Amino acid sequence: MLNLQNTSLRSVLASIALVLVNPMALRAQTAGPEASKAAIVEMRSISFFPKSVTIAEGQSVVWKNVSYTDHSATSDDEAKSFDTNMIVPKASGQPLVFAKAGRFPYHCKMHGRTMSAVIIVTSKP
Amino acid sequence: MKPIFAVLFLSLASSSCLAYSKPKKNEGPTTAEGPAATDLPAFDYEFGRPIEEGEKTYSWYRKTHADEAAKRLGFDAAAIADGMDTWHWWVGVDNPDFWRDVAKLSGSHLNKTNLRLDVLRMLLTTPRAERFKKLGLINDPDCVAATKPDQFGLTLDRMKDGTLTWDPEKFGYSSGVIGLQIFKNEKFDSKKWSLAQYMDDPKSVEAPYKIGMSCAFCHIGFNPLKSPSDPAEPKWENLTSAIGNQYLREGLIFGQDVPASSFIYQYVSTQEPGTSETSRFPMDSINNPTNINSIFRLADRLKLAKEERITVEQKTLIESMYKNAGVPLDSPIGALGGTEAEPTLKVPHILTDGSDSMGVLTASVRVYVNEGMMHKEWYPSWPLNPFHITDSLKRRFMPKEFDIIHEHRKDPNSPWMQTERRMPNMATFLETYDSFPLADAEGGKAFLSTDKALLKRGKIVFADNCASCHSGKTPEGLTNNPAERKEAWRKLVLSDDFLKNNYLSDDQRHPATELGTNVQRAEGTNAQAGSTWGQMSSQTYKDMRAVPMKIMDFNANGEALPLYNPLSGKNDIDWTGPSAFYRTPTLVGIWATAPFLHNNALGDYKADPSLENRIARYGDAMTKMLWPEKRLGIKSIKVTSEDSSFPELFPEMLKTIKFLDGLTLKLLYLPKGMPVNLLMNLNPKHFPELVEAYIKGVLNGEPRHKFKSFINSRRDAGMASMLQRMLELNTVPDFIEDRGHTFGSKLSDEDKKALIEYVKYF
Repeated sequence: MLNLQNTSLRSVLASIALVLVNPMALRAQTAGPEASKAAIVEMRSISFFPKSVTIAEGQSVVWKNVSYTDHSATSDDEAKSFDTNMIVPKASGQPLVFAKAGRFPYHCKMHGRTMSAVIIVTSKP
Repeated sequence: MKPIFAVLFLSLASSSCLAYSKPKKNEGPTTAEGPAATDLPAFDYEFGRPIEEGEKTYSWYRKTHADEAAKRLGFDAAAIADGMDTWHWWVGVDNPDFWRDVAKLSGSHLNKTNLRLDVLRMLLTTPRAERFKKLGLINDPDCVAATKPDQFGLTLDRMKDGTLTWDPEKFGYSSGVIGLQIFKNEKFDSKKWSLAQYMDDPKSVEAPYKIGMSCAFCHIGFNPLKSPSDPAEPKWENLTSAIGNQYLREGLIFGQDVPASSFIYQYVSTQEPGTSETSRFPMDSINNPTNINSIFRLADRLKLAKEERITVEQKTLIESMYKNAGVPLDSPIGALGGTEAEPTLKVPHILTDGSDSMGVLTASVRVYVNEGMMHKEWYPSWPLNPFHITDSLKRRFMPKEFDIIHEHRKDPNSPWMQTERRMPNMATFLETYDSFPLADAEGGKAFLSTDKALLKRGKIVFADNCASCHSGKTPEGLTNNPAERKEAWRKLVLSDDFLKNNYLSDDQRHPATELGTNVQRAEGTNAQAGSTWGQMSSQTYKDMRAVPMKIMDFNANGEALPLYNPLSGKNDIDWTGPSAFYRTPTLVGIWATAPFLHNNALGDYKADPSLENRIARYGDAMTKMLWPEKRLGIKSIKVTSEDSSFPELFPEMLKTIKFLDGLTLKLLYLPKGMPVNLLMNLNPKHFPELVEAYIKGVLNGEPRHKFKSFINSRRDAGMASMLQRMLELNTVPDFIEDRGHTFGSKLSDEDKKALIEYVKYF
């Protein structure tokens, strides 16, 4: 979750997820019980950790920047179904809920393909 | 003031929080940039220590420069920043593969010279602390020396964690040297990797990284206003991107492992610091390095552009290039004009000989090819293509044009085309450099005279003797009356704003007969029709060069002499070549960039970027400029420092030589004190003639079957005969490097001193 202490306004704005969504796949989540089940992905120097995260439909993901550089988590698809925009060091993005099953590869806009990973969303039984 | 290209580019940065934005708007097809997507090895790059709070990085340097220039000039900051990224990190997509090719070639068993064109090897064997001292390289402030080998045993410098603010697949990681970027090698196989094996034979195994070269490698230098306390560990504030690295030892970068007893070492070590031999690839059979000049006041320079004739095909080329790059046809970088049948292009004169004369866009992209972009297509244009000697022999070392008109721009996403699209922003960035006034340096004012009478005298001397070439401003309404002209120039130079927005050069080509300077550079052939860059020079340039010109030297009285002959010790070389020209260099910042002349041969050199040394070098070079008797003269001829061995030739070339029993290349030692350019200014097709000359010298009329019996006793005679033949076959037998440009030598001592003081203000 976003830590507002010692964070500039710029950092706050940068950390708000501007989700360009395929409404069938994702919906923005600001609060709620699902947020507490969010999978955490670390944004490291030039990698995401873990590189592959498997969650269930309806679960969310939070990207946490533990590195020294700005990073984003931006979906690879042309429609840009999700995009956290740049998250500054020590900040986290808003939780993103993945409402539909599927495979969602993504990358950092600044660092390109070199920094990429995937979210795998499984169907609820 | 609108920048040249800013109207074409929409800024996305004004409301964005992104650290990295792409403001370019391309007219052409939308394509991805960088190399084609391939599977790259999965390892992660290992960073060095994290950046510290408040530490200034490239991001700071970029933003500071872009914001200041945008405010000063009314430009778009995002365009400037994007242009800086191109200048610093763009390697033309595929030039890393060129540098891999030459590493493999020079590391093979065919190469017996020990000349390693292996940049990775250079980085691994030259520790960070030694790079500036040994090779004049500028270390990247965003990197640290490795404290231990990485996972592959490499001890390359590491980027500080937090400094990578770009896509490394497109721009690479910094190698630790600015302008050399490392890229993951798609052919790397960790199971096969061995560092020891690579160092023994780079052809035998693929390294984890390839190395690419960007413009900044040659063009970045130390900020004359803020010298680094330690040149090996500069901070970003100690650097400036377009002054030219006047300390670069280009030849030695490749010749480190070569023993002094090899002629190859003698060749590379005599290359002047701060020069680049841009016709080494492809060779023009002239050893003619040229200074890496500063880039100042680009917009003012472009106002001096003149119309030159181009061909109809070149016109079509320019139209296509401008469309791809999003540049209007009447752009100041090269405005199209004339008629359909007789088109013209208004061009600045780029490169010291003004041969790059198809506008800024063509000239800029061409340099990327010169660094290895599209090398597979480039090699066949080389007179001596080391990757295909047989073909070179078949062509008798005749070059071919690198064909952008018909071939290399067909693919809209070729490296050439991608690079074209980057150039407008890069030009916008380059436009932002004005000058480095000495008064703005810490302690600089102490070196500036404030004696008004002295400075006025200096201005008058400049007006009377220098300004007609070294001013971008000219008096209005100049007549042909000498007295009126003199008065008009004095009035202009004495005006308060004479130096403001003055490029301090007319940017015109002046004939070598007028200048008297060494013509080796100006006699270069690569921009001639049928040669590698033939499509990138104007028809006007080609026509100018087609007129023969007798090349003379001049004595102290200004009387013309034949060229100096180092074998006879007399001025007895009667030589005529194609017309040769140099374009007037700018004098902006001249106080900081000595030695002088196009080849950096005038004045002593010292690898010290301090203010004090810059002033000392300036004083020394200006003294030698104005008191030519103090120059090295004959001693400026590049000579070997010891006896050295004749270069080993490729096997295919050896086959063309008629050897005799007992004769090998090992016999052909090159004596100490021999002018390097006796051999280096030779077309390789003549090598068999050199050997034949040696044989004739040894035999001295005796029959050929007796050669072996004279092999030791007449060795010197053989050498003398061979050296004489080298002189006869020399492409440009002009050996004295620091001759010429003796304007002002007849002035009084007091006038000269006044001039020296005034020019410090440039």
